Amino acid sequence: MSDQSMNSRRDEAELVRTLASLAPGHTSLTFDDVRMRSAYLRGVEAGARTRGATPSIASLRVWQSLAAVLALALGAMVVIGPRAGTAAGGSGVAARPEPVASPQVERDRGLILAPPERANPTTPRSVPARLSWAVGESAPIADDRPEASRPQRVDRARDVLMIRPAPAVLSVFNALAAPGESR
Amino acid sequence: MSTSEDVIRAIFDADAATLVLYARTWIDRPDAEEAVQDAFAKLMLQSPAPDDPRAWLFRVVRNDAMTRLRTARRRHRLSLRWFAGPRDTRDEDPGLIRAAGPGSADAERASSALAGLREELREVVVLRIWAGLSLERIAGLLGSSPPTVHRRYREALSQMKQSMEQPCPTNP
Repeated sequence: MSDQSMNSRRDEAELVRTLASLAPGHTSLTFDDVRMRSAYLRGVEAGARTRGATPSIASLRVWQSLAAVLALALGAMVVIGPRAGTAAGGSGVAARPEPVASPQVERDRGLILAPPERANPTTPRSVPARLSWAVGESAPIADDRPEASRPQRVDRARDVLMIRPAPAVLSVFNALAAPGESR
Repeated sequence: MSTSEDVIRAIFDADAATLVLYARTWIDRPDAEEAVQDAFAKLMLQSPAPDDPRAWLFRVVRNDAMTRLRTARRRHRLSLRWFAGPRDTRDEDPGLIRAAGPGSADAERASSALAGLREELREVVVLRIWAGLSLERIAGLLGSSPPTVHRRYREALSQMKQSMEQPCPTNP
């Protein structure tokens, strides 16, 4: 080892001794600060675990939004209700269907008017079962009540439950089914 | 099983100032103290306890300080892109090192010499001299080879020696 190298090593060792005799600069950090920080982090961890056990507000809102969209879509697609009054020249406003009474009761009330084509005893068996009781009736039962107070005949075979798409939805369906025609 | 509080307190008393000095390689003093505080707090929650808590602390502080440095530089780039170049966030505070006894001339010269080193040289000197880690452990901590660490250490000492031999401008 040359003198220059030895001198360099000696200087280096002296420098290391000098540096080692010095101390790192002051710090205002205390162990209490560390303890407080640790307690805070522990609380954050506990909070995260609690949040993980229950659905978050965000996920609840997503489900609420989906439910609302679904309800709106169903509302736009479907109108539930009888078409009461439309066939008999009424206002067309949907009305609650009357409860179905037994044929005898309705006959006694004078509500039943047998259709002319079905007044024939030879009415084919394809007549709906709900109307088959009327087969054999030859003439309407007299109703002496004023015209305004007479109940309108309800074709129950058609008006029990009608599911009707809204016009806007129908137009969309038509456009999808026949795109060439819609243009 | 986490590290007991007594052990952590003993490590804190012995090494907190060194850890702050180490973090000041990349960030200024308030951020460095925050990084060290976070590292000790995480050590309290760490389960199972690390095999070598001291080495673990130095590694965590280093990672935290570098993350803070990157964040600070990014913020600075976003806010002052049109006015100046990227700010050097290294701590140039002359109080990096203090004299353990009377007389502070060596401490001032050593502080400015240390502050003038590049980051990769400066961290090796701090880890070797004030943290007392062997070159092998430093190599493991930095993810470098021992020869590389040794070379950096020698280069750092050489630069510090040159810097400290220059006459101090404040004390003619």
